[in-house]
Amino acid sequence: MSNLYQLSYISKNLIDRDRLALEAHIKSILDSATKNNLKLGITGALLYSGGYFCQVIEGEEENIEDLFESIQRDNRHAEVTVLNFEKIDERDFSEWSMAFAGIEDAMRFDISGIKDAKDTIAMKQTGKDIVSVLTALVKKKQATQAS
Amino acid sequence: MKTENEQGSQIDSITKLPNRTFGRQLVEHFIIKDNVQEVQVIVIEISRFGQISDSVGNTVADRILAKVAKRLSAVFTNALCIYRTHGDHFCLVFSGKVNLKEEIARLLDFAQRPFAISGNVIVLSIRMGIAVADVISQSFRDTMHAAEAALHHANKNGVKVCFFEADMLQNAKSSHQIANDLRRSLMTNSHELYNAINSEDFYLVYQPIFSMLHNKVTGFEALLRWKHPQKGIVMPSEFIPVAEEIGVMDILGGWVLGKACSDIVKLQKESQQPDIMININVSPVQFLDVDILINSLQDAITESGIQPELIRLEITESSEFMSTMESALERVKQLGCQIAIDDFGTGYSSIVKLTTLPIDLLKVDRSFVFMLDSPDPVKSKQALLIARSVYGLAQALELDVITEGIETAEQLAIVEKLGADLIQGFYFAAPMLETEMLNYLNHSRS
Repeated sequence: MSNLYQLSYISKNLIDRDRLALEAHIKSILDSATKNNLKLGITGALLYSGGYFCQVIEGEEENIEDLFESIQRDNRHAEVTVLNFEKIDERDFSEWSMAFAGIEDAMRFDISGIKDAKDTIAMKQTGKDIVSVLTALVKKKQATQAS
Repeated sequence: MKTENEQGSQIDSITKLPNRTFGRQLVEHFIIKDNVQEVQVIVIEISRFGQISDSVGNTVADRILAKVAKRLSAVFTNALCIYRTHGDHFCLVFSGKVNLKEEIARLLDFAQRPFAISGNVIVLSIRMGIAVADVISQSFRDTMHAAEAALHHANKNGVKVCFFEADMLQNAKSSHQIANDLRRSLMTNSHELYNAINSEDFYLVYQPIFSMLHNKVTGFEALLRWKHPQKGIVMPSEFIPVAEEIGVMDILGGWVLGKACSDIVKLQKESQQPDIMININVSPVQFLDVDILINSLQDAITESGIQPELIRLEITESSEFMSTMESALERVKQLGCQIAIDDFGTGYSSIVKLTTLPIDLLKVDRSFVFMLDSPDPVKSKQALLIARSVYGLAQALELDVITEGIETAEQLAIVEKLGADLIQGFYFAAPMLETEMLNYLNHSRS
């Protein structure tokens, strides 16, 4: 029986001062994701928005927990806030080890509001919003690249 | 070399870390092998892990401990040794070469980063006790004890980080001793405590409450005492905090309710004064599980046959529980009992709270009464002002007042002038044994 979980979180980027460094950092995340996630059956998507990484990861429970733990131990991330963590029936990003949805200068989600309020319902909703925004962005990107 | 089997019993099965004894042996081994001059020991405890465990279940709780262990091992690769001492306690040992301040900051940072477990996101917080010592003047075992004493101090004072200081060991030792004795006492008496109101180690004394208006004793306050096998009589201020800490207040509090109610009913019958009231102290901790409290109260009422309106529960003001207390107090009121705020003026109640909580009575704290006839005119004036405003407030809110701690004729004269009715204190009578109450009552009437 499948034991699929999806976890969405945001974390503050602590290290990259300029666009070039950021792009290199994202490339290294995507490279290692492509290499490791495939083996572990993890899929997901990443968006960089206004100084925050917004990421969705999905896969078997244990693999998701381990990946999340390794993110926790990564000194380049701080203020990791889990928005939603739940069992799912099917994946949203089944074709992607880690789809990259792009870099945006302004944060599109009300992150500070959510973090301050510690409102779990609002967090869960934002987690779901992130999944749908990422899905739409990934699709859009796919369509642009195909045309 | 250890065989695999021997090794197995030295490794904690949940976290795969060395256990307490093996951890200590490892450190002692490294001290010699690496010629370590100084050790820096951090003992950490996960705050409120018991509550977390209750809400997620034991299996997930064990997984949390395993993840904590894994994170500590992955992050603190510079530690001499990391091991699990017991329960939710871990010990990190560094050599003197490591910058302790930085490690503490890293520990606080990494401990509060979330864990994802079975669809739960768990955020922990920790407290830590720290001891630093050179290995020549102090054994590692003693340094570890020192760190544990510092952790105890951190817990007691509600701080996250505490460094060891010399006087902590003595305090920790005496508090530990009380906790152990209390556990033993409750264990040997648990059968009696639950089933019969007949304990040898705990007993109640009763202090009369006198009405100036009616010129008679209208009730008694039940006060708990503990007959310690070596220390003699131990006062509640010493053992109640320990009972709260080790989670036995519901047993002890339940016993007090039952015993006090049955004693007072006996007195009502023997004295033919059926309206004598009984004041019983309830610890704020007992409000954490309101169902247990209500059940104990209900049992005490049924078993003793007391009229519920003759029971007055005394609660102390406590910021921590005030928010949850409202509904609990409503349930106490539904049973028909009265509610008094004890030590009024020293705690946290706001006037707004006083109007929303279902309270019947305020007890003016003895510290103000004590100052009423102070030779220092500033102090006595202050005390007078406070007493006057408490009486005024009570009158405005239509609450009764008991003035406790009356020890001198001067104090009595002052509060009488202020309009006090219900009085309690050594000036009238000291707390007495159950067997002395009837005699006292008969004498006070004559």
